[in-house]
Amino acid sequence: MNEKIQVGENFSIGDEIFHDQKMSTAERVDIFNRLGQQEVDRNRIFYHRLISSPSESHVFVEDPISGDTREMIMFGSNSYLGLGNHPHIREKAKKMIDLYGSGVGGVAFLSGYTKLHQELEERIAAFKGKEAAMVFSSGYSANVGLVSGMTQSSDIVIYDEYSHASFYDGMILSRVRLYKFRHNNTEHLEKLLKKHSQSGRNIFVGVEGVYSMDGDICPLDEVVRLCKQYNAMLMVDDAHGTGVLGASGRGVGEHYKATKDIDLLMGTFSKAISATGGFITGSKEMINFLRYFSRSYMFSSAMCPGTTGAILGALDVMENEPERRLTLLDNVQYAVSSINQLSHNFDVNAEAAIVIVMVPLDMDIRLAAYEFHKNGIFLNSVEYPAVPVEQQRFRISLMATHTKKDIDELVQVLDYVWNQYKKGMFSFETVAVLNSARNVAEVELENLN
Amino acid sequence: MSKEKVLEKLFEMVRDNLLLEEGTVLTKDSDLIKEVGLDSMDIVSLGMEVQDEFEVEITPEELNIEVITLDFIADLIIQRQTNMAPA
Repeated sequence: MNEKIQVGENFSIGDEIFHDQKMSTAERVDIFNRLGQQEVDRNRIFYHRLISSPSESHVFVEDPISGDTREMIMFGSNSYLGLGNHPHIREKAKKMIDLYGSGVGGVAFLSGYTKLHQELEERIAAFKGKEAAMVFSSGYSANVGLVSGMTQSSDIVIYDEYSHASFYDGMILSRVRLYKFRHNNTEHLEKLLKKHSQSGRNIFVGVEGVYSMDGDICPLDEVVRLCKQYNAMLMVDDAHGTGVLGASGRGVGEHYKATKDIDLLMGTFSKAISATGGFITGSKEMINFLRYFSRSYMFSSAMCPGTTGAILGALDVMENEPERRLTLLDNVQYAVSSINQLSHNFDVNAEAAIVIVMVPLDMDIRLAAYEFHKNGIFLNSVEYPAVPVEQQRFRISLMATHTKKDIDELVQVLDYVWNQYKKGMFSFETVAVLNSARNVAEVELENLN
Repeated sequence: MSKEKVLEKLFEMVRDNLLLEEGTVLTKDSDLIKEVGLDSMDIVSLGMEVQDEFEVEITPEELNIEVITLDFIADLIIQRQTNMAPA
């Protein structure tokens, strides 16, 4: 198993598990499935939980162990503004299906581009304060299309080490020269810019507005200054900042009053906007260029009318109900101060809508996650290999539609789980660091092999 | 160029350009992926930079081996430079 791993949102399970390059596909599939079954047998599987209600602050979820369905408070959703089941948005989606049907029958480039798509592009460009926009059917394909469309193998991309997998995959597609800088470390970024600006190559810098694994935001003002100084083009992924940051929720550009300094500003419709899809905004010329060079745009069917209508509806609500964002921010601050008041020496903070609670090294994060589930709290555990073993964490995502009572319940259960942990629950059976998740996984793999 | 000089330059390129965690031990025999923490795209970028710096041709496939070390890359560079030298 790798001693050093890529952290953040860009990791490959395959890279971690299958080092033997000669292993057959059948063996890979078999080992993976047996490993998964072992986790199910030990009550330690918490992915693909089955939800049977709309995406709201309270949801009905099937217990993956017992099979019972129960109401839970959702703290694992990216639907930060709580727009997943809003009546205006539902109506707008239905209306657009009535007007345009269920599908568009082709890629935007050929037969799938409707007045509805044009309207959405104009709306999102205006919302973001940029000249033009293009729309993708997923956030992943927007980021892949942005990077692979803009860069070519002779260029250089310098990117934050915590960048999303979609940004990384875009770089792989264009076979560009890539160098990562330490997370949010502008000194390291400058060191790399200084060195590579002498190369005569096109240089791009990639950052995110909000990093979802840590909940922090990028130092955009400083990044902008460096990009100008070293003549680099700036690409920003504002998936988690859109709808949350800035005086009117327009994202990290508005937060720093630096929208005009971002050359290409990407985002998704799947977080605060609560639908699916992604977008890129920029100058008319850049967007026109990308329509021809972004393969994930050119070769994907255009967004279906229902989704497009839902996004337009969500933009209406975001403009007409600005208090939602303020309630969200208030909820975040309430959660932060309540968690920090517990007696477990938590020192959490939040710059957007995500609060991170670090997990002690000897806590079995999956067993603890099940305890949250059993107590009616849905949150996401972030575990190795997405992060190093010593940095495993719970990710709490706040919504505008959470009540103070919901947050009180979260904090109460958090307190309970940590008290149980202190009594010896959820600890690995054997001692200290040697029993970290990494080693447990390694032993299991060896046994399976 | 002597192998020592090639290795010295390679050390500098890895330290300056690739993100190593603090305290990472880098020797000529370190496994760049398993021990140093580079990923496959870091190796591809390093390969491209090697081509620029030493003016030799190295394909990504040549670097896609189970254990990749600076010693291996240095040998590859010297081999190419020797082959390219005028008779």
